Amino acid sequence: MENSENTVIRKMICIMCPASCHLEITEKGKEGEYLVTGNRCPGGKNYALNEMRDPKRIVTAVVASDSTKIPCIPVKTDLPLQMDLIRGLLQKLFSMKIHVPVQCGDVLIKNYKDTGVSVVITRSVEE
Amino acid sequence: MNEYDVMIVGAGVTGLATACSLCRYKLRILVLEKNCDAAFGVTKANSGIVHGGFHYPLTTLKGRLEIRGNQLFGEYQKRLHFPFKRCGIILAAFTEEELAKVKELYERGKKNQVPGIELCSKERLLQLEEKLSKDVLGGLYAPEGGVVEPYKYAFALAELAEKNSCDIRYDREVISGTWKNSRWEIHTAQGDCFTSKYIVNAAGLYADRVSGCFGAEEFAIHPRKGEEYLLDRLSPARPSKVVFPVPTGHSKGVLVIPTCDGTTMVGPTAETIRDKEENCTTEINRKNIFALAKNMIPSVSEKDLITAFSGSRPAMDGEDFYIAPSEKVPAFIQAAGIQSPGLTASPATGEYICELLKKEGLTLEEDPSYIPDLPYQKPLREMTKEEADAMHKKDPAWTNIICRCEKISEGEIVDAIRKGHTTLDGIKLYTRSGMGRCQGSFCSGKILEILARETGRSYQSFTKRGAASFLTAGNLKGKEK
Amino acid sequence: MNILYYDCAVIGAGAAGLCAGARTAEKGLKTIIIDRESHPGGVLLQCIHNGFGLHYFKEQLTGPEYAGRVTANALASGAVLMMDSTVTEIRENGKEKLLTVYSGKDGVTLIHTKSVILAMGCRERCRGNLGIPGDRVAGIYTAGAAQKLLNMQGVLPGRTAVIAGSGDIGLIMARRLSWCGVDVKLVTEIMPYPAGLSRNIAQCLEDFNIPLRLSTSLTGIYGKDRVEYVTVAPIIDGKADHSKEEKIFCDTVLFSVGLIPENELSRSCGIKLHPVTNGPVTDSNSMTGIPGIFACGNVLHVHDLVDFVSREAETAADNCVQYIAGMDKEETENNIFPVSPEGDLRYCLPCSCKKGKDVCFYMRSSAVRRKARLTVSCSNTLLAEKILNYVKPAEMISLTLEGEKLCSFVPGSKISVTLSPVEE
Repeated sequence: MENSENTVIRKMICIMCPASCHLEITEKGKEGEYLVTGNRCPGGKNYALNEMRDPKRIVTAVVASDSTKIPCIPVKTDLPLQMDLIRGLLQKLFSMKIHVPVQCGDVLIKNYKDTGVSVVITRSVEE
Repeated sequence: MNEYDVMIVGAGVTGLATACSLCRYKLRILVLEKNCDAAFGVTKANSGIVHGGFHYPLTTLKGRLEIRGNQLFGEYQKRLHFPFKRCGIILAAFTEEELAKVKELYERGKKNQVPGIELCSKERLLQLEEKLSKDVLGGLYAPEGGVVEPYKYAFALAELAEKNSCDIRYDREVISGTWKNSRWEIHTAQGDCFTSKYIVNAAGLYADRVSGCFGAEEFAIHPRKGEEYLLDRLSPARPSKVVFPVPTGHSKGVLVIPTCDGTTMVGPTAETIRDKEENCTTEINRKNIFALAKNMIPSVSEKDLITAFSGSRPAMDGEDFYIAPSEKVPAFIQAAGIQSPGLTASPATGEYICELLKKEGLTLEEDPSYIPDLPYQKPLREMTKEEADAMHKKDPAWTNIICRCEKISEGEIVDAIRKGHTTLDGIKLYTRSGMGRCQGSFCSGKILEILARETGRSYQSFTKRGAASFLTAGNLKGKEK
Repeated sequence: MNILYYDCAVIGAGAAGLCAGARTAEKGLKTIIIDRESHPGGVLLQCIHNGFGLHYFKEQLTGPEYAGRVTANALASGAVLMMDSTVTEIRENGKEKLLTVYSGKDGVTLIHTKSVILAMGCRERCRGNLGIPGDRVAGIYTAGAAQKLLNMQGVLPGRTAVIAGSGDIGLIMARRLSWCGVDVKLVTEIMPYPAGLSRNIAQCLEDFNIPLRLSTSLTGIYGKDRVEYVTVAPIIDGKADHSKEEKIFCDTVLFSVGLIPENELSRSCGIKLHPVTNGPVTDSNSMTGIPGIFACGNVLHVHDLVDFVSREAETAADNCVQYIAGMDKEETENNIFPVSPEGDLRYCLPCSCKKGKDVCFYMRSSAVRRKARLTVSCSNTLLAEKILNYVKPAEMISLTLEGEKLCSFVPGSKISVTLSPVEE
């Protein structure tokens, strides 16, 4: 039977990889201290703890380019970004235009709003 | 500038066949069409049958025009090169009652002098069409019946008419006609004004409204909706001939049709509706159609379905065609109530309307510069490798395949656009791109790209079939303003 | 007409084709990879989201990054890439195969090749296939077609959307559209469980509060010119209950209702297809019913992860290399074991295996199970076993069987691959 010590306070599916582990989070006595079960790797535990404290996501988008062949160039954040900053970042990306050539891995925006998260290009486009 | 001898309302098969019959004479002809392309009304959603000539007695106008139309189709195809095959028509009976009706139709066919019409035993019928259910008891065979691609036929008629200086204006809806100084003055909803000595009302579902605009006869067109279901090229149900059930009431029943292009079509339903704009398909009709089709050809299966569509026949009280000079207003020919067999009849209807105009006083003087035929362009899908390679040397775009399911090249799509078909449906009907099993999932984006390149217009300006049928909602940047 | 000669012709330059072609070229076969698009990478190029490559490259990559890497590998291997080119026909020509290729640049090209690897991928089922009633209006797309418009051409398909089917592309598009300011009203799924990966339900729907209605059918699409609304109804006893039908207003409908291997070419050259997978029937040499024609990736069966596609492609390539090495030898096929999927399995590939040759079985479950046991046995002897957690139709299962385990059995004996639920 459940008792107040180890009640599951949230269930979630880990999105770190396609294994989609079913995670269960229980509060460890003190507020803000959690126990994670159901994960098959350490990434799952980190994911669950981040979800509880400060959820973040990798953001991907396309940015317009001046290429004659590839009108849209895909980009991603190199690290997960705080969820409440995503919309602002997307607005900025919608208004930008990339000048080709670019290489996959080139940094488009460095350290977005001092979060330590940068936006990098994910496709090389020559012309 | 805007003065014509004959103005035809409606660019469906009836209006365009009339234009083609008239354009051999020294006349200024105008066709006004409210849709953005030819064949977008009744012509588009149609079974595409060239009927055998045994359904109606010669006492009806539609019976007479059907027989003459069937005869003319071969000659029209030679000149205009649209897809048409005299694959033959079979009528299959499954009950004794139906067999009795078959005998009646056979007698009628004999009287109508239908060439080669044959009363068939069960064995003969199964020999003619092996896909038929073994439960068949007997039936009819009319070898001169066949299938046609109605829109390609209509486009060909439009091209021939335009080649002979006929003006065809799309996106023009007639709102009024006034008889002034022995001419008609016509206004459109788009603000144009034209004058013409004669008017032909071939407005299909809207012939009643157009008649009203000119102060001519009052009558009502009752839309009778038909749903059609298209099966994959690989469907084992594809018969070698058009298979009809024995007709009941107004409808010829649900057919199994081997279309010109290799697919199989089953349908149509016949349902009187109120709204002329309505053309939705329904689950119940789908189930009925498949059940009826399976009775005749057991290998028909919903598993092979690739798409469905529907359209309405412009039926009128009395059920015959109403093709006659107006008795109320001068110089006005009604061509209304042209439901089935309107497609089959159309070449003959064109001739007939020509004769009526002549009787009404129109002078028909042969034009020595008349061009009777169109150049033939074989589609890529019908070319041998050698022919395709030779075509590539003339225009490299012809070996760049855009629609993978139907093997349609960039060259053919550009050709369609340059001939004025700038909607996705217009290009589809002209080239067959997007008509195959993926239904445009792969090629629509590529076609948009070619459209944008050829016309210099933006993506969001393109429509599926004109009006507000916009395909996309702008680009990402525009969205965020 | 141009005429070319190759050892191996790979049809399709997506993940499967690029990985297969890179491998055959590395191993010394003169290889050409043919694709109808202008850029190699296949559908990966439009899958701008991340989550690819964790198994194959041991890191999280976006689709274009994965495509970039496998393209670079293929180019480095010496394989020739023939882009903007459509294969229209494969014919057997004695022991070799003859391919007809159409392209805008080169016209018609004939390729004589000793072997062919089919890697054409798959296509999406569409509205027409489902026979969904209603009007034929603008604004109806397959999820993949909408993804291509949005990510490759930068064009929004609409403003408010309903997504029919909970396949992965549909889920990914729900998030993508939401991020682009499109209001995604609903995702419907006719089955009682989602068709896509659980992580995609979490990150693509839950993050945006997009409702997912299971056991729900899209019963109609209506509008005059553009989609105006759809109707949805709950499924009760296997049928949509029209009395509970509800209107949802939207201007766009996306379909994510399953993928079908694209086997038009295979069919036209007489390759036998599998009734469940819709891909070719292959043996443990990845070979179709026609000697010298191999298949891998989504043209063989629809995969959940590109990583497995790459691996399967390399296996097919290795088998192709072996085939060419032994081409002149008369093979006596007396060590074949037919493979039979049993229990909860919908299918299992390959359809047969050989004594002495390791084989990786790929399969899918037909049921959702919290826990399940997968076994491989022959003549009532257990050869391999695996316990699986969270088995579902959306996720592929794989298992490797060492070839020597079959040594003691009589060729022709049936190998049973069985998935059964485990009670907890």
